[in-house]
Amino acid sequence: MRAFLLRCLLFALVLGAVAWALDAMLMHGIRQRRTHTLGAWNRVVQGRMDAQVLFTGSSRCLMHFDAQAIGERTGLRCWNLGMDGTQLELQLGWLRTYLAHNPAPKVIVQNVDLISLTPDSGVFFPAQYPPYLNEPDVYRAVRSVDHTWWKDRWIPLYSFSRLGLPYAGLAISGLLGREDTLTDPLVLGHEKRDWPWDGTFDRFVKEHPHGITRPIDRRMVDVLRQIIRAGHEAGSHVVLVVVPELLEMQQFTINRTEVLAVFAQVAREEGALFRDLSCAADLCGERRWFYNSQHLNAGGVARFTPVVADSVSVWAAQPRMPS
Amino acid sequence: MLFNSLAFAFFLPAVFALYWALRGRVAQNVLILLASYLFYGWWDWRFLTLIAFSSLLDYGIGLGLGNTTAPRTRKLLLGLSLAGNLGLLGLFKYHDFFARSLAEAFATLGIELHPVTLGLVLPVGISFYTFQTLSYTIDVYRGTLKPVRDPVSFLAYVSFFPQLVAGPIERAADLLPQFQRDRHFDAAAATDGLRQMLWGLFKKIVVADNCARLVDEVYTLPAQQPGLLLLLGTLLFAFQIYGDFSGYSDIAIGSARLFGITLRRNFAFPYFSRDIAEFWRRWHISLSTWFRDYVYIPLGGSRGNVALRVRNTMIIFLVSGFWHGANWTFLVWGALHALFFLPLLLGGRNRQHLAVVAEGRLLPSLREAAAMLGTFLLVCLAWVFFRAANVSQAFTILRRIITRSLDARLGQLTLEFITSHLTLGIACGAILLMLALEWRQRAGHHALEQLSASRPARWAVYVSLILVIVFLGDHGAQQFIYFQF
Repeated sequence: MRAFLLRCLLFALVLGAVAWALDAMLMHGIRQRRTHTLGAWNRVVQGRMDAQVLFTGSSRCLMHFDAQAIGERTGLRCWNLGMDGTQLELQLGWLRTYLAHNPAPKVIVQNVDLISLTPDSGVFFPAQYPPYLNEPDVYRAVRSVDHTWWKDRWIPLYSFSRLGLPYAGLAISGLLGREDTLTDPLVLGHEKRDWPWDGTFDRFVKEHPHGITRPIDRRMVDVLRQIIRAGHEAGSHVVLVVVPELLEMQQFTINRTEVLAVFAQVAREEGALFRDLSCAADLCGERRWFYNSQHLNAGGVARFTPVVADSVSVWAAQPRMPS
Repeated sequence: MLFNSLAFAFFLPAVFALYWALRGRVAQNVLILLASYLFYGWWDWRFLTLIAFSSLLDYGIGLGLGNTTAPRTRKLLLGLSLAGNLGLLGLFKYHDFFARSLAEAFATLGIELHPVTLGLVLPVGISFYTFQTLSYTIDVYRGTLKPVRDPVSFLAYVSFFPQLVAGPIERAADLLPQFQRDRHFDAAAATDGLRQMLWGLFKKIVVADNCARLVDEVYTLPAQQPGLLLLLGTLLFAFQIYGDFSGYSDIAIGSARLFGITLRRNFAFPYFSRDIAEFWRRWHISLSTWFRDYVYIPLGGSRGNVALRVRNTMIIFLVSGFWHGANWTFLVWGALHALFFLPLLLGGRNRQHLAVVAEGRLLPSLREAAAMLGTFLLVCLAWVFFRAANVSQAFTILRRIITRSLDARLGQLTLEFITSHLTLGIACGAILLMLALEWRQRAGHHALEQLSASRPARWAVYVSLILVIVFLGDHGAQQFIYFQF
């Protein structure tokens, strides 16, 4: 028995060493990537950002704030940290990580919307987290959304088993420095989607003929406060912004006023600004500026950009917050 | 608890360590019993009452049979066991099927019935442990086995976690005595058990689960799929079900060996069979021998005139099909196998391939290869019915395979499917690896049984296989197909 156990232990050590080395090598490969979302996160954790204006939020942030165009119009260095499918907790994790590794921006524009305060529903697009789980704020954030992420953090190669061969392929191409740089959809973190109207809103309305009520989770309200405080502690101004939303959808949400009132109240109590730009530039009334009720298409973003840029200039002109 | 889950990766070493730390078989049996109930209760603890009921019923009936010689009472006790066990099985597995089928039959006569369906969830593994516990009562009734007095060893025999939910279906005469004697740790057996588990995991996670994704895609709306794609899906299903079920059996047998328990072999490389008779000696051996011993032979077996032999063969294959589930597709599957088997039986050629194919040679002869291919295709033909949602869908699939395989436009769709699915490449590579390694070891018990004599080389193979499982496996922790039966 003793010999058997020793042999098992020795094999486990060999296997563990191989797995650990392979995991470290592949994660290193992913951290070498320069494009797409992983490239953006690599810039963040490597401290290679120096944005004066930082946009954070979910997919509505990612699609709506054209950091390059806003930068050209304002003369400020801008970066869009928007993450598709994320909740406030994950956004907080990344914002804190950004602030830990990079100079604090003058202004943090936090996108808020009608589903910002709904409870967590899992980690969307999980491939963007494994290489950064050694970042305490990122790890805390993903674990608060899904506690099973301890496996990705502590079991070598677990993430590769979960995300499959393509993820290992990303790592290897990163290691070899062979990336497809031509198809990177992100420009300074912003993703432009020149998509036609996709009809999902009409199906959604049919499924909910009496309108919908968005839940307000007190925990999410608290996380929003923490986002503002993290910005303030770093010396940044924080502005909560509601981006354009199709008017039909606005009218369809039964408790819209109540949700917006929570944002306004939180901003007031925490010393942040709150701006409702949901009907800015008269975009909200026409479907042609949207590809669904929540997201502007490229044409809509082009019309929205001057409004944001003018506001950003004003916000950035204020003296820095005392950190 | 699934074998391919992280929970099992913690559970098994913990039970192993505790088991060998305990002194004496009584304590070990208690641990096995508790661990088995925890393992089973992981799915749904409420179903523990069923397994406990089934076990205690047969334990009590066994004692009753041991205390009486009166034929009438003995028959009554056996009847009680059959009614209790098969009644439970019928209630959970077949009640709704019969109720609906009856209503449909009356509907064809213009009579409308409103059947009472129960919509019960099928308890995992009920068909397996029911048959296992029944084998005990029947053997005690026949006098070939003495009734067991120790309830713990009996309960442990029925619920032994490695084979509880998907077999191998053990006979009381083989497994019970192992719980009644002291076990001694055998390092060589345990090491080989670990190897067999590793091979089982490869077959399940890499072969079966990758095939499953593709098969599910192809078999969704088959009426719209190209014939060639349906053919590909059917071939993949053949490897999916083999990898899934034989993989489970390998893990079960391997884990049991860690506890000093030997389980019966359930698969013997069935796709290397040269005819259907040989296939059934190599596929789900524990079930086919159960039916042989408890149904076929009591019916007269292969004795008697042609009509009786045909009847017995049809019964055993139909019952075997029906055991798999309450669906006409399984009955057709069983009937097809009976039709494939009968010419061999009636021609006295059902036992012509008892030895391993191409024994002592590296490759099979052309004749052997053609026989294996032919048998495999017949088995695949029957798998269409096994996998299809209903009989009419199975016929649609077969019709499209025959009539719509050479359509150029649909051929283009097939090509697009092949080129757009990385999983298909992984699945095909894994199938080839599995076949190559199993062919090499076809005279043994599992593919990793006799590797290189050098330890570093062996370890390199194990580590590589684990890495293949990690990187190429489908880790969605898919259930084993046979859990539903």
